[in-house]
Amino acid sequence: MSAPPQDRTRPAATTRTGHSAPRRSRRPVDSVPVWLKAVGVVVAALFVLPTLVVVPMSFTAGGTFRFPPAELSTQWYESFFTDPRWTAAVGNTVQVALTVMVLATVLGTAAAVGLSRMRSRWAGLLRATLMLPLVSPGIVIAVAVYVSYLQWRLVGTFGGYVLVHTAMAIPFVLVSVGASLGGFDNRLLLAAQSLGATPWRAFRTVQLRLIAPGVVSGAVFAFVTSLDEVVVALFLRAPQFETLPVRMFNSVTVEIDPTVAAASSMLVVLVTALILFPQVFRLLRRRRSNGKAMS
Amino acid sequence: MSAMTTTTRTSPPGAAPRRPRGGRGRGAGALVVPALALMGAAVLLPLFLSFLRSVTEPSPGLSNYAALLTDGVTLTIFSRTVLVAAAVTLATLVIGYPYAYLMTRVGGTARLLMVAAVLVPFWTSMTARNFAWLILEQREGPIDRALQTIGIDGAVLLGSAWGVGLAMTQVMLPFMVLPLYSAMSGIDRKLLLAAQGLGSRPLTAFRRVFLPLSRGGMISGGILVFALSSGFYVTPAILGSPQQSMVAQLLAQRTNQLLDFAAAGALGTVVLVFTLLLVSLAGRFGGSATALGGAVQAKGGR
Amino acid sequence: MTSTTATRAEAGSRTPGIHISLAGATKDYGLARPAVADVDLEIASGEFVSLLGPSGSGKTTTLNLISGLETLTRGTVSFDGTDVSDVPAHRRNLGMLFQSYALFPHMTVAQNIAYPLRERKVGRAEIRRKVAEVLGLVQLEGRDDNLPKQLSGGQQQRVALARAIVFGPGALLLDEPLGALDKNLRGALQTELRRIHREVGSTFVFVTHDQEEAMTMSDRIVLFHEGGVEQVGSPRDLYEAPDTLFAARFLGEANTLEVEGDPASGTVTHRGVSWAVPAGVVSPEVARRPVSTLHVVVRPEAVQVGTGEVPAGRAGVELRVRDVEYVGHFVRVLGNGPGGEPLTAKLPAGASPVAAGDRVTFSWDGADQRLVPA
Repeated sequence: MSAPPQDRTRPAATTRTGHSAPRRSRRPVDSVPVWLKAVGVVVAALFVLPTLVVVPMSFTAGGTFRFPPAELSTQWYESFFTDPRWTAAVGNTVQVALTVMVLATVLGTAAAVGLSRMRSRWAGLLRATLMLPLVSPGIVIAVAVYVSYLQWRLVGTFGGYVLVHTAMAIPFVLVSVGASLGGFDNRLLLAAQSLGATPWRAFRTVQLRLIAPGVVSGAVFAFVTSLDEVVVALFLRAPQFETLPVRMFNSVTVEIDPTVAAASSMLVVLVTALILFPQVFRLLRRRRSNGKAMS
Repeated sequence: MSAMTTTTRTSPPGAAPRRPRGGRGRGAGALVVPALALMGAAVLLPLFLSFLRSVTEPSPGLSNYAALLTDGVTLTIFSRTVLVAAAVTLATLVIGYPYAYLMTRVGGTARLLMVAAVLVPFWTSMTARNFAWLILEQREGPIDRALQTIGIDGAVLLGSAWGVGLAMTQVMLPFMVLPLYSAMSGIDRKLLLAAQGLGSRPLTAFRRVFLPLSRGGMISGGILVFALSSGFYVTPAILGSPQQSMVAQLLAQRTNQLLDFAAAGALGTVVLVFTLLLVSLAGRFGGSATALGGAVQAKGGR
Repeated sequence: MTSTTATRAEAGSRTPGIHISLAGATKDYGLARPAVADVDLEIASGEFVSLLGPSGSGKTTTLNLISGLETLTRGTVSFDGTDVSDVPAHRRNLGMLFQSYALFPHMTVAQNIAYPLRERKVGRAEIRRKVAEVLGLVQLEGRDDNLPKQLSGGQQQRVALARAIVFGPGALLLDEPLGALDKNLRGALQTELRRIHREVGSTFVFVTHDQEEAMTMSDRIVLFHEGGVEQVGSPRDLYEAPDTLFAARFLGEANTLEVEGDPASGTVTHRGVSWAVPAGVVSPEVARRPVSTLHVVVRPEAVQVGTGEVPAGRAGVELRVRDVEYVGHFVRVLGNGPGGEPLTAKLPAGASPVAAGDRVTFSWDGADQRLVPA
């Protein structure tokens, strides 16, 4: 190896003392450092693991939240499915949530479509108004709603729950339908009408088809919002009408009833399955299409 | 109501030969009215009445607001709340930043798993998650025992601001990670390579280029978590104590137990205005509402 | 390190440029074939070399191996005879230009350009002087305080160029830097890049998939195909004497006819028509690799269109004219050869008495053809 002709241009380098073309095993440039991956695993564990403590808890034989349980039993699952207070709460919750889902999806979708067609500068203000429950602290809504609903005799009623939960669910529908409307070209409606469709048919056969994914995810959001809402529900509860989150909250804070552990476990498993299912599905589909591309 | 006036404004009277309905403008306002009416009756009117009570009862004026400053309790609780919310914000940022960054760097399968890890708690019942923390933090619970084995006795987290902060950090983490991730995935990786090509060590390139470019996500995630934490009720109610209470508990107590609706209205108004200001600030740094509702989009992993 | 770069930066923007050599350079991601396999390449100091090829041919990977943004699986990269295979990107002292400009959006034009100087601990006054100087060089005086997003695409790429040369790098690596610009701007920037190459005098390695761009700009072209080097040479060499069918087709228009025969005999046959092949037009690759099929390559401008027999001493085929396209300064006569393969002749405008449907002969001088392996 001869001396480099231009010493100035010579980068700091270690001259390799020469075997020919050894297989190099250097770390690739711009790779993810190992410590960062470790941090990622720890944080992912922090996301997922703490909540899982409710699962062993739910199998306790004792009547307290003592952990780990000394003896095991399934009595709290029995309690969940047989105790009328729990079964009634589940029934109420599902009824309210389904009603809220339908109402919020219809009203929210209509509003989102309306807002997207509006050219006025008021559209922004209207949107912000409809988004208010999403960005307000639940407790502020809860106390205000509680006092008014007391006067309106809506506390502890199906209608009261539906009313306030629908209002709280509409922003989610607005966001998710709004996102899918973002890519919608309003000229398609004119095109459909020029081809002879009535405005309603044009909406139903063209626009609704295209924004359907946003409507569906908005409906899921609305359902879950009502299903999980606890703060306002706590204030609207009455002995004759309470929802599952309220029942759970009181079991934790007032009654020390381990049935809440059984309820929590089932919710955790349900949600995890619902989230993982589409992810796993997507993964499998990707694997399959990759396999096709390779062959 | 205002929606109707809006639409008539867009097509001035007398002008406009008939144009196809369902396109832009006409009839659009009518679609918004039902949602707006429900929203008004269900939430907006109660909020307004609550504010009205706060300035009219027991006598017209700002006495309820003055009382917030002078009752000796509210200010203490306010500052405690702000302190805990700030600590939670900082903690979620420190924990969430590397996680969100890693999400932008790993391959498809790992990213889907990481997204799922964020979404599972995001969708899991709030009550269940806080109940889990109660089990972990209680006396003789797993954390207490772990601390005992390393020689720290009697440091029970349940009922303390620390315990509330710890649980709230975990509960709020998704709200930090999602905006961070969305900001980071918009940063061109080539910029880091360019910086290295220009003579920066990889870490320097990260500090000088990536970090400043992710600032928008940090600010919007930070404000979001701060706003949510300072008005949060469930965690302090389950894990806190009356001695260490937060603003949300105070508000609930004034309404539920003291039945002092006017004072509660004043406190509620202050909290609401404070939160809305913060959130509109966050909106400036990239759609806080989208970040909140964005779990749907985040589901796609992109 | 710091001291050497500082002296380099102070030496002014005119630098001799480094000599780059790749020996057996291989990058294998573990896919069906390596991204780059056994590339041997010498790039002389101060040379303007284009790495040309279709996407996926390995040209960009090769550039990244030089820059250090990719690590070698095997082989070596040396600068001025010194092995730099293990030197990380940030210590190779090379300027880089990307198609996406890669300007830091949160920094002003001046801050972007000052970036490499600050990394090299250059003094403030010196930074200011150099930034002004290089902004003059790329004709963007007075834009110091603009943010990248306030500039047009062409201006942004000039800033990126200024940033890449301000610290006097040993070489400038350009990764399709003009790919995102529209046609007129491309032309202007091509000229400008040539001018700056002359003024700076550094080694330029230019990646492109645009053969015309490579032809007009480079001293030499390295043609990539499926992860390996297909042919290296001046633009004229590559155009007039392609070594392979791929090279012939990738650079410019080419008529290709599959032929049979032994090159040593001096005659080839295509569907019963035979003609002579002088030894000078036989690609060296014919002798070098086991050849399955041979092709005769003729550029359209070398083809003459006539009537009747193929003139004596010329090679050619008879065919029926399918179409005549008028392109302004020339016309293109299209037809199909005896085997159905499309053939084109490019004639000066006005010199075209033929029309679609005519029976004609396409003929060419034996020296204007090239015999290549597939």
